[in-house]
Amino acid sequence: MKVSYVKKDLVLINEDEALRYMGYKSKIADKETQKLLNESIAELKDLAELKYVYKIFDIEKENNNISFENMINIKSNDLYKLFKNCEKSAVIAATLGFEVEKRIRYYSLTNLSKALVFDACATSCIEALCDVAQAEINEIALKEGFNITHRYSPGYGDVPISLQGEILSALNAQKLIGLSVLDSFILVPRKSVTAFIGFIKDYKINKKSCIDCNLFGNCSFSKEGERKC
Amino acid sequence: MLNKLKENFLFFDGAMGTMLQNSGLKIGELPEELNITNPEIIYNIHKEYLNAGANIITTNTFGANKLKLKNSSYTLDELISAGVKTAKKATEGFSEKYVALDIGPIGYLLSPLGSLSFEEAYDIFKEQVTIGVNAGIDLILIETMTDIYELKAAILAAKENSSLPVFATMSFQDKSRTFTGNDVKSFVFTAEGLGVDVLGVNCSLGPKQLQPIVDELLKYSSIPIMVQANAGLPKYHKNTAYYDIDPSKYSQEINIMAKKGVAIFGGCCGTTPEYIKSIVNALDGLKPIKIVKKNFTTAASSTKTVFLGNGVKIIGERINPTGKKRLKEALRENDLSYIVREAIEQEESGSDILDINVGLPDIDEKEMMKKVIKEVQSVVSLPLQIDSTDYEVIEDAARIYNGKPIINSVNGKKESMDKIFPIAKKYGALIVALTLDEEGIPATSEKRLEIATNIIETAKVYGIPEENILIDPLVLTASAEQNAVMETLKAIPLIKNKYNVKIVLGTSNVSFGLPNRNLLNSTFLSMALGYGLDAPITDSTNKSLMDVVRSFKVLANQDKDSKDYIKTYGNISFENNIPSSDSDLKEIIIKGLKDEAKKVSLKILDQYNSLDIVNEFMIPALDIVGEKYEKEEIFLPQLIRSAETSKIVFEVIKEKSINEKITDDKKILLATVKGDIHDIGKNIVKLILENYGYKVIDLGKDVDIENIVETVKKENITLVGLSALMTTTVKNMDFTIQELKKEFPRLKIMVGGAVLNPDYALAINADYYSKDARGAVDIAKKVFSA
Repeated sequence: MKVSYVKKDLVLINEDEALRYMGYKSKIADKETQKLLNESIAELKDLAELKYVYKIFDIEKENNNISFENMINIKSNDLYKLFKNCEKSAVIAATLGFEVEKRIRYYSLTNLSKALVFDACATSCIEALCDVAQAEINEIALKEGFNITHRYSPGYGDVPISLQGEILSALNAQKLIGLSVLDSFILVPRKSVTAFIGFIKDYKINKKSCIDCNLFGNCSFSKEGERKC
Repeated sequence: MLNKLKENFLFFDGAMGTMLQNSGLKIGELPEELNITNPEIIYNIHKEYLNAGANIITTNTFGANKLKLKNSSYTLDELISAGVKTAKKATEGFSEKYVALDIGPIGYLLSPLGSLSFEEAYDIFKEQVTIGVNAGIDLILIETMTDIYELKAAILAAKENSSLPVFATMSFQDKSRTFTGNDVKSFVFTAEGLGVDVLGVNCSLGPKQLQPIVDELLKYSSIPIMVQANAGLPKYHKNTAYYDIDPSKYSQEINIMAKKGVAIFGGCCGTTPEYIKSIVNALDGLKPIKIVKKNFTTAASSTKTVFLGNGVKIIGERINPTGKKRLKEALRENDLSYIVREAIEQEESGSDILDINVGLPDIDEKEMMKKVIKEVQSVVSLPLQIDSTDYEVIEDAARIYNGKPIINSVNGKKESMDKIFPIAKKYGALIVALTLDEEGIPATSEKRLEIATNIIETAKVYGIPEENILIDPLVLTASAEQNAVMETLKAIPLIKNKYNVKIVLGTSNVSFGLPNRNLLNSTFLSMALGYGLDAPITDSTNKSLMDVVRSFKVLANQDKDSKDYIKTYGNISFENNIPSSDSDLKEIIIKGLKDEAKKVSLKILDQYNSLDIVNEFMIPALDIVGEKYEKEEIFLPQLIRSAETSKIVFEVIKEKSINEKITDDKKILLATVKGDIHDIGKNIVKLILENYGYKVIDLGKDVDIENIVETVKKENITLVGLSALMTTTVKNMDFTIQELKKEFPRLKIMVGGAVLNPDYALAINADYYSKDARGAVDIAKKVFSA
């Protein structure tokens, strides 16, 4: 188990990725959008409280059921397949905190173009934060002689997002990093992620495939033939 | 017990969870079930703490609320009653030991951050309190709160359903803020105002890290402070947490706190009876420091406290429909986003507090007041001043307000004081008190002092201290009663010399009926400030009034080193930034030049009528922008910027020609469905539709089905747009459509959102699917031309 408050300069927001979230085909932003991007990134640096918590569980698998020390129980073909050769799994929860949430709400009422840019940058930021956590987990895995699978979150494939509550309580995430879930299983603050990362012997990391995604067949990136996100 | 507190320290117990963990017991999700399945272990823990020297033990009911225990096989009543019974049994044989009903956070976020309403939260806490009281508790401990709003619901539930002492603690992170951003000051003033007996801090940090938070609590609080720190910061060994300081180091820090003025101690995560024993021993021979009453005059939101009397503070007056056609229209049409923008504009222009008045004869003032307060508080951090002539509106608003509000107003009439003072006392509000009584507004300053005296002394009878009163000595107009103007000003020092009250004044009345009102208002404002006015109720978006305030603050030595003044005026180049005469409105919209839009459209209004501007500039510009977007020459942020620019133009036109009809009656209702809180996409659709002249009724996000159905009926809607972003909330979209189709078979419904596609839209019986905002415009055109 580990709770981390991450230094802000460790998390780099990927501008190209943010532009892509906004629907830019080219990677070149117009002048005004670039200005909004710069502002948003500066504000995120100031506002984001980069926090994550993870715990490494022994897992047991039977008939498409995966049990994380009985604290989280998942019935899923897709995760079962990914975890086929896993003995352990890290479970992580990460968030940018409430100040980012509040700012998104503020812009969505006062300045929509800024809201769009800021939201995209925040999405890129939470992904970058997860990358930091994942790198740390990877080191632990390597030390113990494992490789890791890619991140797999509730909502991908057939893993239900109704798991969010169980995950948060298994990690005590509400108390430790201030992360909650609504009845509709939306995490609040919204710029937050929960994910599983499997520990596996002799495994080559496959590129994350679109088939695993819950937006498969309906995602604006794949509709446009990009086949990645 | 509270009397004992005046002479002695009080000791709570330490952690329950840590003790249960140490017992090696496998704890399921609901530790409260142990109250029934294994009461002996709970009993023993209580007993150990009592033996260690605790005066008060807390029941094992931290998470015992309706929502957390919904999957339990036991009822709430069974679990809480059993918990209280076990604790009481443990105190048998001791003297002067007490049982506190433990109440922790509900575990679900309150609106606006989450979806639980304030009223629901109150009901949940009420249930806990009622069961606890019936089971025989001695006091109520509301602890580990991270949201002042939730805390307020809990305090009200405790105070309204028991007469027992109420202790309240919040849990702060290392920047002295809770996870939701609440600060220590706002907590102190809100909780103290609501009448808790003790307030304090617990959990999240060790005693050393809590010292700065403790300092702040002691600095502002006039009631006893309690501290329940963790046993240091958590470290992890594999998957188990342990804490890094031992009982003797722990009690050294506690000793420092006791000498500073903390009177009540206990432990939180990681602490055991050893820690309690150690702090009891460490404080042996010491006595609590006597508490000094602080007398601050403060108003607070959940994240910001404003001190009155400490430099000039501006109370923004713009949210008041008197004489404002556009605001009246917004109120009648339920256009909350207009009101929120007014609030934001005042915040950004320098208001410290916002007055909220929504009184119009033809609307439900009570409902509107509550809605506006909730909406404004969801985006603006300033404290609010509840302004109404209706006592019930004031009471309801003070109840659902998040923080410590100001009530505007009471006056010297007996009826007014009888009604307002109990409300102000209960919710800890500041009160604006007008110096008028049954005989009207007095002519002299002396008589104003007399009325102020009566109000202040009567308030004291209700337990309201002087510092919670803001006297308004009432301005009369110079055109009608020229000789009365100075009387108002002279009353200011008269009143302030006698009482520790602050002075507020609505200053702009003075110029009514005379030319160049701005000049008179500015001059009067600077005179009033010179006489000792603390907080003008005025328009912070008015530059010349703010010039007066900023320059006054320099000259009165309030703006230290003229910092704010230099920041405001230091970099202004006084050249006029008027756009060149040939800048064309059409170009401005296409390029999305938001800053220039207002000036140019004001200018152009002299030459064209409103409809021509819409048809000859706006619509063609938007069509070009739309085409560029389709061709991927520009992208979404640019499209939106053009739409926002166009909206600014539209607002200017609307402001100038409020009676001219510029929109057709093509009404479209938009909502993000129940359960979903994503609204950027919906807001984009709204903006673009408005650009094309549609009148959008926006019900916001997380909208109840009934609300949508009712509005469709009331507003006679032909087209509804629904948005959902999550797979889980799409089902609510389905339910909403079912209900709508049942009631209004001819109604057209369009849907959109990340997880939707044309097939799914068809499956849930929507008439149209749109992939983006442009598509929504095409659908609207089709529907309204049919």
